Amino acid sequence: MDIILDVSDLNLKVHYDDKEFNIITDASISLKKGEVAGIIGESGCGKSVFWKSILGMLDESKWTIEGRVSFDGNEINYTDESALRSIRGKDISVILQDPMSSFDPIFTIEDHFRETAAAHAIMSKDEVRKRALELLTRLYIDEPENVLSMYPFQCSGGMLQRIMIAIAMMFNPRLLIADEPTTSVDMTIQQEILSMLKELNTDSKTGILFVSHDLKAVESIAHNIYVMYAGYIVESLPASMLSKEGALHPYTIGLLGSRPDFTKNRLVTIEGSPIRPDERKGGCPFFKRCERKNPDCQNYDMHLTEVLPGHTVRCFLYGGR
Amino acid sequence: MKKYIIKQLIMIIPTLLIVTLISFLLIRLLPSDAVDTFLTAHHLKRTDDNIALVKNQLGLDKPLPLQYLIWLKNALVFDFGKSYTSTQTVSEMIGPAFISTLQLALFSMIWIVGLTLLLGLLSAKKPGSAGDHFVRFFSMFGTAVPSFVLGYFLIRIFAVQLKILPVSGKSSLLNFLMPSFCLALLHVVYFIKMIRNGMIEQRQSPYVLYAKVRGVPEKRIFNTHVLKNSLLPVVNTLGISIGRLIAGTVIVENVFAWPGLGRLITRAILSRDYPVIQGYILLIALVFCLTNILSDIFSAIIDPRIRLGEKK
Amino acid sequence: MRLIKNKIKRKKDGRMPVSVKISIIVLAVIITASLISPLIARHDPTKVDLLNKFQPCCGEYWFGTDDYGRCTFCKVLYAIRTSLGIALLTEGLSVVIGTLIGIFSAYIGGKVDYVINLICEALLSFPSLILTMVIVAFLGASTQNIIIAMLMSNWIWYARIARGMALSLKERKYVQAAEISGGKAHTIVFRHITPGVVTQMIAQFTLAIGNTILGLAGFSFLGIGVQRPIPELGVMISDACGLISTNFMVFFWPSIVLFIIVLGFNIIGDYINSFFQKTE
Repeated sequence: MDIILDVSDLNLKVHYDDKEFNIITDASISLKKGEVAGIIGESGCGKSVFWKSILGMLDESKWTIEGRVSFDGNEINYTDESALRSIRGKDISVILQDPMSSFDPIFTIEDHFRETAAAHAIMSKDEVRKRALELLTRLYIDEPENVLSMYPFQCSGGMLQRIMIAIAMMFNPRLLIADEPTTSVDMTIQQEILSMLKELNTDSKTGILFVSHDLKAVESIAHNIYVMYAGYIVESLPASMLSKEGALHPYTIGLLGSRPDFTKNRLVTIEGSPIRPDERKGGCPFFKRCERKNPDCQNYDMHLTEVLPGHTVRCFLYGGR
Repeated sequence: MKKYIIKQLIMIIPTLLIVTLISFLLIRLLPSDAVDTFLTAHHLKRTDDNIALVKNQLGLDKPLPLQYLIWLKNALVFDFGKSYTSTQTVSEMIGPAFISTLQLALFSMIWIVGLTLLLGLLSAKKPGSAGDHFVRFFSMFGTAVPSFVLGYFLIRIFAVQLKILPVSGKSSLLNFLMPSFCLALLHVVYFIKMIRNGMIEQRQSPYVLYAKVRGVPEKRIFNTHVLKNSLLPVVNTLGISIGRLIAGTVIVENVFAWPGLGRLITRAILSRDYPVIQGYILLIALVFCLTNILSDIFSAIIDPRIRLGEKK
Repeated sequence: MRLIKNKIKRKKDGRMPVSVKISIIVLAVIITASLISPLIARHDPTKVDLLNKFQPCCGEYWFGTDDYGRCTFCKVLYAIRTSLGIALLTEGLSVVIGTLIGIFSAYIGGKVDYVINLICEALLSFPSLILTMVIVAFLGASTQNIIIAMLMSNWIWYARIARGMALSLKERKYVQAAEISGGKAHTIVFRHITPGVVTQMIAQFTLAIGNTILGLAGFSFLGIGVQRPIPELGVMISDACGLISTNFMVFFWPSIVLFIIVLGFNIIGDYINSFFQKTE
C-alpha cells in the first residue's frame, strides 16, 4: 500500500443558531508513505477542524461531516467509536501546538506515557518505562530518568514539545499529525523540532501531516503543500514548485510575498483579514482581498483545475470558462 | 512548602495578639459599661460601694495596659475569667460548647462531601440534562432559603408530623441529622457550583484534547483529568469551610437548641457578657488561622504545583 | 414545536428568560404593596385582639391572625417594608462607601493603598456573618446598631472589587493617555475610572442584595437585629417559631414571603451577572 491517508471531497458544516455554515468545502488530500504533507493557512481557515475530522473528533451534534477518509487503504468508519479510539494515538498520533498546557498539570511525564500505553496495549510498568526512556533518548532529552518523574510545569516548552513527539512515537504510528508544532516555542527550538520531525520521517518512514500558518516551517519540511483559505484548498503543489514563479493562486503568491525578506525594505502583507464563515456569499471567498480580481470571480463555482500533474488550483483565472 | 507552613504557624501569634488587643480595647472604650452589666446580672443595687467592689473584683480598677496583660497572661492557660451572667468560668462554658459545635460541623462535613459529589457529578456529567436542571433548581433553592426557615420546616415535617426525628437537643445521633443538613446546605450549593463550572472549564482544556488524541477512553478522561482537576479547588476550600462551619452555626444552633458555641455567643451578646465574647473571638480567630493552614496543607498534598513550589 | 424552538433561540440570544420575568413581576408587586401598605392594610398590624386570635385565612384576614389576634397579612406588608428598606439602605451605602474607598485606594497607591488592602484582606478572611455579629456584640443589640454593623462588614467586599477593577483600568491605554496629556486627577478618576467600576459594582450589588436581606432576617431572628415592636420578617418568624406544631400558618407566611423575595433577587442578580460576563 503506497498511500496511507486519502481524504476525498471532505465537507464540514457546523450548525449554529439554526443556521449552517460551511467550514471545509471539497477538500481532498493524499499522503504517501514516508511523505510529509503541509497544510498552510491563516488562523481560522479550518486547518485544525480538518485534522480533527480525520480523527473523528468533532461533536456530531454540531457538525455535519461528508466525504470519505481512507487510512492505509481502509475507509475509516466514523460510527465505530472504539475503532476510532484505537487508531488515535496508535496508528495516527497528534502533537499539539501548546505543549505547556497540553499536559495535565497534576500528572507526571511518566503518567502520560503510561496512560497512552494503557489506552492501546497491555504493557507492564517496566516495559512502558523502558520504551519511554528509549524514545526520550532518541529525541535527545538529557537525563530521561529524571524527566519521567517530573511534572509538566517543571519542564520547558521545548522539552515538553519533544516529550509530546516521544509519546506520539510510542507505537510507531504510520501517520503523525503536527498541529502548529513550532508556533509556541522560540526560534532555536523551532529548528530543533523541525529537524527531529524530519529525522523521524526519514528513519521510521512515518508520514507527517504538518499543519501550520508558518510558511517557512512548512516549506522546509513538506514534500507537498496544500494552501487553505476559508475552508477551500485553493492550491496544492509540490514543495519544489512553491515560488513566485511556480505558484498560481493569488493567495499563495500573496503568502509568499509576505515572507520576511532581508533584501526588501518593507514587509509586504495581504490586505484585509480572512473572511468569516457568516460573511460568506457565493463565489470566490478571497475576492475582497485579491489583487487580480475580476467581476466574474463572484460567480465562480470554485471548482478544481489540474494545471499540471500534482498541481491543482481553484481560481477563476485558471479554471474559469 | 514546609517553610511556608511553619511561617504561617508562627504568624498565628501576632494575628491573635492583634485580635485580642482590638477586642479588649473596644470593650473597654465602648459606652456600655461592664460594671453595669455585672450589677444587673447579679441583681445588685447601683451604689458606690457595689461599683467599687465589682470594679475590684473584675480587675477594672487597674490601668488599661496592665488589665490587658493580666487578661493575656490568664488567656495563655485558657483562663478567660468568670462570666458576668453565670457562676461558671468562661472556659467551663466555651469548652463543652466548642466540642458540641465541632461535632455538628464535622457531621455537616459528611453531608457536604456526600451531597456535593452526588449532585456535582449528576449535573456535570451531562450539562443540560434533567439531572443538571434538578441540581440547578436545588442550588437556586439552597441559596434563597433561610436556614432558620428550613430548620423549622424540617422540624414540622420530620419531628411534628412524621415523628421520626427528635426536635431539639443533643441526646442521640438522630439529633445530628436535621441541624447538620441545614448547616451544610449553603456549602453544598457553593461547592456544586464550583465543581460544575470547573468541569465545564476542564472539558475545554488542552490536556483533555491531548488525552483524546492519544486515544484515552472517554471514561478515563472524565475520571482522571476532568474530575481530579475540578476537584482540586474544592479540596482547597474544604479546609477553610470547616472554619466557616464552626463559626456559622449560630442560627442553626438556636433553631435546634443545640448546646454549642452559636447559642452561647447569642446569649452572651444579648446579656453583654464580655468575658465570654472575648473568649469566643479569640477561639474563632484561632480556628480560622488553623483551618487556613489546614487547607494549605491539603492543597499541597493533592496539587504537585503547590507542593513543588511553582505557585504559593 | 416552532414555538419551543423560538424560545430556545431567544434564550441563546441573551434575551430575558421566563424565570427572570416572573421574578421581576413578583418583586414589583411585593415592593409596591409594601410601599403603599397603609392603603392596603385593613388592620393595624400592632393591634392586639385576643378574641380573634388564630383566625384561619379568610376574606377579612388574608393570611389569618397570630397568637395576639394581629392580622398576619398586614404585619407581613409592614415587615417587608422594614426588611427591604434596611437591606437596600445598608447595601446601597456599602456599595457607595466601598467603591469610593476602593477607587481612592487604587488611585492614590503606595502606602495608603497597601494599608487599606491589608485591612480588607484581614477582615475578609472572616465570614461577614461573624464580623457583623462581633460588631453587634461590641455595640450592643439594637436596630440602629445592626445597620451600622452590616455597613461596617459589607463595604469591605466592594472596596476590594472596586480597587481591583480600578487598578486594572488604571493600566488601560486610554487612562494612561489621559494622564500623560495632563488630565486633572479628579477628571481622570471620575471620567475614566469610575464608570467602568460602577457597572461592575451594580452587578455585584444585585448579587449581594438577596444575601443581605437574608442576613438581616437572620440577625433579627436571633434577637440581635431589628428589635420589637418594629415589624420585620426575621422578627415575625422568631415570634412564630414556637407555634409551628400548633399554628403552622402563622410561621408559614412570613417565611415563604422572605424566601420568595430572596429567590427573586437572586434570580435577577444571577441574570444580570451572566449578562455582564457575556459582554466582557
